Amino acid sequence: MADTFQIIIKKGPTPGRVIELTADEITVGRESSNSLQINDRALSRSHARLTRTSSGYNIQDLGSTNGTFINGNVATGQVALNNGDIISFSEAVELEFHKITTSGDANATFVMPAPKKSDATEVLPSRAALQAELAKSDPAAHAEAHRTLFSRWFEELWNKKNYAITRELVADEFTAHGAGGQDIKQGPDGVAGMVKIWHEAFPDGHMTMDDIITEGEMSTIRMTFRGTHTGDFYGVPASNKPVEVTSIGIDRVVDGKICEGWGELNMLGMMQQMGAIPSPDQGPKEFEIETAITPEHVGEAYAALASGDMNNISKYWAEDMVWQVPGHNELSGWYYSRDEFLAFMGKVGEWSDHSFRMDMVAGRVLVTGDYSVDLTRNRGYRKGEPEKTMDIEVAHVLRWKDGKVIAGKGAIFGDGATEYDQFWSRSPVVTPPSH
Amino acid sequence: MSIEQNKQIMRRMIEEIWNQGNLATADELFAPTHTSPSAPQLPPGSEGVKFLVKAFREAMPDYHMTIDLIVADENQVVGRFTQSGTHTGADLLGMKTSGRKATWTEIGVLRIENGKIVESWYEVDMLSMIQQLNGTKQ
Repeated sequence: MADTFQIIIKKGPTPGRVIELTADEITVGRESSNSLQINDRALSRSHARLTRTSSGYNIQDLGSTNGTFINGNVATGQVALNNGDIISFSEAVELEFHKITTSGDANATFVMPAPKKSDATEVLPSRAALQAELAKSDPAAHAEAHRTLFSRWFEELWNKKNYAITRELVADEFTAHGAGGQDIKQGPDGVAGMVKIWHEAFPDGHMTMDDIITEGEMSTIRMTFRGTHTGDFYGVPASNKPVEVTSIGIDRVVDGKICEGWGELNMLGMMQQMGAIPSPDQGPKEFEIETAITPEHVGEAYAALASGDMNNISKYWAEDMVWQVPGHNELSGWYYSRDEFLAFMGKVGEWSDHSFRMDMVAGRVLVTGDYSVDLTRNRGYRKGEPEKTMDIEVAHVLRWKDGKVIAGKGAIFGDGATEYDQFWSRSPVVTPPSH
Repeated sequence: MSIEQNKQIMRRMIEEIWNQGNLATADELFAPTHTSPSAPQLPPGSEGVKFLVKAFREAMPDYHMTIDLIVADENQVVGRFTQSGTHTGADLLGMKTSGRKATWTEIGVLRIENGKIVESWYEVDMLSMIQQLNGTKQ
């Protein structure tokens, strides 16, 4: 079987981190464009390159400011790496190279690197010595300590919203990698800020720890979050839908505090559960996004409007909606917000002595893409002039986004337009009933 | 199984099955009873991973996976991966070939019994991958 190769960061921003080498070429440097980023000022932006060979890896300095050293010697040109070699980029950053040889049978052997003495006064402990040190402590007790730490983490922070616990459990230098695209800031406040976003979007949310796998400083946790989406979540407005999302995190724990974390979560599945994005195999976004709109939903929006209940109205009518009233009368023209639209509806009520009613012509709602069209019969009389009546048919074209009307306009048929203008005019002319 | 043996199974899965496309290794490493709660729609045993490997490698001829981190105990092994590929081949998960390149991360957990993978969990940054492939994110 083929040999495998690893680099262990001995000194640097993430000591103890193990990097499996599988790529043919690995660049090392301070910039994130490197395949191995080491964020230390001693490193150049592009510092060194590892290149796969038939027997292992070569390293080459890329003209860095501080140079690359192998076991204390300056690396010039391509230098072949041997098992146990110490690669240093400065006094602050040292890596150890490992070649792991396994036989083809099930009894794989792990070749320990030979202990090496560096020229420096400090003698680095060999991997064997480190493992012996680790074995002294009871692994079961160690794993149990990690389990206790993460149980508190989930119960106190995620489920009891005790944000102060992050100061106890998270190191100041904590950094997060991945996490489904979430931008998590450094340290306890960064973690608390991320969890707060979830609590605001899912006030009833609950996190469950499904499993924990511990090796040395590293623990992997599988977890499931369940909650109802009643607040904004990274720009996705409340859908009131139940959401269940699994995630896996790998955390490094030093001195009882979490100091580094890698995370992945099913953000895609979550967005789909919230109705925010379509599945990749389901056609163009604008047609997928409003499949939630049904003729019943349109009916509910009108019923909410008639109820006058602002909470109910705001579920169906967007705050920044626009509305166009047809005709050439005092009420005609554009209304540029929900408040303006409701003020218009208020005038309709007031001027008609609240006789104005709008009845949906049964079943006459058509929904396609993000548009709906409905037909209503609008009737009423003018306040103080009960003989001045109106009875017309109106079609409304509504445009929907996230379950709410964002734009609407009315179209009146036949002589209805004239009847409508006369009705809202100050003219005393009484329109003969046309129906 | 020892921690090192469990890690070796993870390394072989990534290197031989995913990076080299050697599907025979899948039959060797996965138990016939293997299931993945992360992808319950996939067939049991080694067929599920074979389906995924074929789909990605046929869609992205330069598909490559790197192990960034590996953590194990006696029963399970965890890998954090960075993968990349250019969508120049077959359609992928309903997406048309775009010629775009994507780089995305993943964490996978394998549960191992008697040297075989019996259960697996995956969380993949699919949202980022799709956004890179459909051009909505660089």
